Amino acid sequence: MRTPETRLFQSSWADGSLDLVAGTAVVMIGVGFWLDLVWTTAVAPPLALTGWYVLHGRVVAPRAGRAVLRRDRRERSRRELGWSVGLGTLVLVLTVVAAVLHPDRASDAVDGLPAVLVALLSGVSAVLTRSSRFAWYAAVLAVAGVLTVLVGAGPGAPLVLGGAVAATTGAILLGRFLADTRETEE
Amino acid sequence: MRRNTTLPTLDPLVHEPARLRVLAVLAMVESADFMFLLRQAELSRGNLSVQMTRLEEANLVVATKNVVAGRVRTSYRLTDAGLAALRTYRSAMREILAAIP
Repeated sequence: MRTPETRLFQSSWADGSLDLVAGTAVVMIGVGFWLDLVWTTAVAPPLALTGWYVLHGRVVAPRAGRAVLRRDRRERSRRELGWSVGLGTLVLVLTVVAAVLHPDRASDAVDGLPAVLVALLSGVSAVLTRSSRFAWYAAVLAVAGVLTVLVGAGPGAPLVLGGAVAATTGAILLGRFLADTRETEE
Repeated sequence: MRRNTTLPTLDPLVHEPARLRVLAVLAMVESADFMFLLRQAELSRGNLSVQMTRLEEANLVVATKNVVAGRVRTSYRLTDAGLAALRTYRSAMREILAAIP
């Protein structure tokens, strides 16, 4: 059962700003793959991080207010982030090892790899924010990643699809949040 | 003459619904500003302001004012006395609820 403290922690991620910004960045990367502008892969993440920082600081926080989480919650989040980074590194290493050992199969599966890696990131976000919708984005990305390998749609399509789902959900949540919280600051 | 009551008494300062909500929110975080309490406790601005003044006067919470980008931001924290009052309230309430068959 979720405790009130867990619900309070979840509610701090419920405004949709993270979904909107991260989803848009994933769409950007997907479109970059489509148009052969692979540099978007390097540009989109820092752009998304800056965008989220500005959006949250200027639009969300003045309406939702600010709180410092309890030390036990902060330490738990830090621990989970550590485990997630470890898990992500392990998956990357295993992927590289598999690609070296089976280069023929790797070349077939490579189109689905970006979507699966972003799905992994989304799964980590679900754990860190205790928000199940990030697990749904992960599922959409993973399934789209597998499908793109089967139908040969290229690496961009699953990213555009998964990113669009996240960005649209984020836009709806942010719209609702702004409608519910018209007052700002003291 | 000493009264021999069956049930424990509840502290009216903590028992009042609006104040109880605010105290419970503050117990879940290290500190929170006025807007955060407004959203989480779902109170009106005026009601929250009145309740926070009462809680401050009773030394159950402490307020800190900071100026950020030219605006005053008030941050609240539960004091040790505030946490103790909440814990006493919880055990009293548990005893009362245990009386329900």
